[in-house]
This record gives sequence, structure tokens and C-alpha cells, in this order.
Amino acid sequence: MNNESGMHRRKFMEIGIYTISGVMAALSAAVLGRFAVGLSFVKKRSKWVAVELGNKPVERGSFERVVLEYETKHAWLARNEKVLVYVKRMAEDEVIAISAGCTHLGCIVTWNEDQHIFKCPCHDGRYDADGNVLSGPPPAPLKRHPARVEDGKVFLSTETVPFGGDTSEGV
Amino acid sequence: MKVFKRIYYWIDERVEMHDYIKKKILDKPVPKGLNLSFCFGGITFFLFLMLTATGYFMTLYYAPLPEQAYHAVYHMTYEIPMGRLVRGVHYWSANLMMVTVFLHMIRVFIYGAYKKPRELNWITGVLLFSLVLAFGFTGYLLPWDQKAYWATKVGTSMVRTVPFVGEYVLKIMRGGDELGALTLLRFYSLHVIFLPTAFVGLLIGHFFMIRKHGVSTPL
Repeated sequence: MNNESGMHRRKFMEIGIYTISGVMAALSAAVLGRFAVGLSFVKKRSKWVAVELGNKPVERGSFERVVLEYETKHAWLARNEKVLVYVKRMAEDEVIAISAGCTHLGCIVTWNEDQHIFKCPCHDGRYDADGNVLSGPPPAPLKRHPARVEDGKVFLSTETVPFGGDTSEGV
Repeated sequence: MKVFKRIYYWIDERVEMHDYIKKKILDKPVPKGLNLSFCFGGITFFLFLMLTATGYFMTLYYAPLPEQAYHAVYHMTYEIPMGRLVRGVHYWSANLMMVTVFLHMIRVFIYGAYKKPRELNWITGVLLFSLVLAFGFTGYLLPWDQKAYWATKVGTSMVRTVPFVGEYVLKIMRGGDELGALTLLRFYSLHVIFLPTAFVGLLIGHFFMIRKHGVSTPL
């Protein structure tokens, strides 16, 4: 048992067992880790949704509350998403769509027609009619939904982009 | 590497388990004359570890509700990366475990390894075997597809034939008259909480006894 070749064989077996176990454990960890991460980093796919605007004349400052309604799938659950958007006609074939989600903590801002500002009810964040921050805690301007007009019909994208980015793209 | 070693020795200086584990578990000599059939118990334990690892992670995606279970399993299998592999390992380990646990029992029976002083190994072993069957029975329902539903319908119905108590046991198993939401939920609960806890407890006893008495040597 204790001769030199016996010790060698023992050491060889030990290293072999630890190596095989280590490789198996590492493989299992990699597979299970990938499985656990799953689709956490997959970006939501945006789509274009047609919305109805009232036939208000084109004039600066008149925002309309539009509820963007679309079906979305979270994992295996289908559900209806409803998002509030403030839409304003800039020209016959141009609209801007401002997301109502406050950039501070996501509360819903309201458009104040008299003062011409967006106000957040949670921490009194205020934005001007373009969505720029006037006062309060919001760290960034209100986001925009890419919008386009085709044959008089208005389409909004379900994704939001930071204000200042290109708002005409997004397909 | 040096850091791990230092942490290891720091801990071992206090718990003093290194020599014990080395001598009594990792380097414990086995008797001469053993053959491959003595590996079935170890293989069964290995499969149990695989089932535990994959099972833990599958709970991240499963939902034990009749409207959702099937879709959740489908999502986990075909839409989540590695889903087929993880579920496949769970499925095949479970199937193989049935085989190896049975072969393990046959081996112990043939070699007479259940005789005094090893009766407790046999007794815990029989209990473990019945838990394996319970694992299989409860796990089979969880995908909530046609096969699962009807297999459980038939399986639970058999309980009714037990004299006197059959009707009552059946209702308790199903959580009522119908095979439905409550059945799925309690099968899930059994499968991931009650059975594993009992299983590990018995397993500790099973392993403790084999270390105490050593492997029974063939004649």
C-alpha cells in the first residue's frame, strides 16, 4: 500500500476525481446560470399603434390626452398595456407625443393648460411644453414616443426615447 | 488560489474538520472484492444532486396554477436559453433514478447487506424508495398537459379501491372531489418542499449508518 508507485496512483486518482468534478460543476454552473438569467436583458420590441386624435385645429399649446393601448406579452402572460401620452399637432402631417411618465420616479404628469406646463403630483416636478425640466427633482426631460402621420392617420411607437434624440425613427 | 487556501485554513483552524473529512469520508478505505454493482447507491445520490440543482432553478419559471402551468413550462422549455437542457436533465435524471434506486435495492438484497446490524439502512432505504416514487408521482402532474392530467386522474383514482379509507384519502390527495387547482398546488408543494425535506433527512440517516457500519463485504 505504502510503496512509491501506490502513492503515485493514489495522487493520480485524486487529481483525476477533482478535475472531473470541477469540470462538471463548472459546466453545470454555466448552464444553470444562463438559464437563471433567461431573457432578463432582452429588449422589448416596439410596435406602431394607430391612435385617434380629435379634430382640433393645429395650434401651439393644445395637448391631447391619448391612451396608447396595445397587447404585450410578459413571459407567457398576454396582457393589455395602457400608457398615457400627451399628443400635440405641430402641422398637418407632424405630431409630437410626450410620454406622461415623470423621469424622476415614474409618476404620471398632468398637463396644465393655464400655466402651460406639465406638473408631477408626486414631488412637484415641472416641465415646459416641450418636456424640458423647469424645476423639481426630475433628472431629465420628459421622454417622447416616436410618432408619424400617414394619410392623416397618427401612429405612435410603444417605445419611448429620450428627448433630444431622433424622434422620427424607430421601426 | 493562495487566498482561498488561507480562508480555508482560517476556517479549519476553528472548526477543525479537515482531518476528519479527509480520513472518514474522502479517504475512507473500502473493503476488497467490491464491484461496479456497489456504485448504484452512489449513482442514485449523484442523480439526486442533479435533480436538486435543476429543480431549484426550474422554480424560477414555474407557476403551479391550472391556467398558467402548461404555458410556464412551455416558456421555460422553448423560450428560455438552456431551458430544454435543464428540463431534459431533470426529466432523464428522474427516470434514471427510478432504475438505479431499484438496482441498488436488488444489489443490497442479493448480497444480504440488510442483515444485522444494517437493518436501519434497509428501513431508511425502503422509506427513501417510497419517497422517490412519491417524487415521481407528484412531479408527473406539474407540466399540466394531457398526459399529466389523465395519469394523475388514473393514479389518484386507484386510491379509492383501498378498503374503508380509500374515499377519504382520495379526497385529501385531490384537495376535494375534483382534480384541479388545489391538486396541482398541493402536488407542487409536496414535490418541492415536503418531499425534499423528508428525503434529505432520511438520506442523512442512510449515509450516517453506512459510514458507521461500513460497506458490507461480499462473501
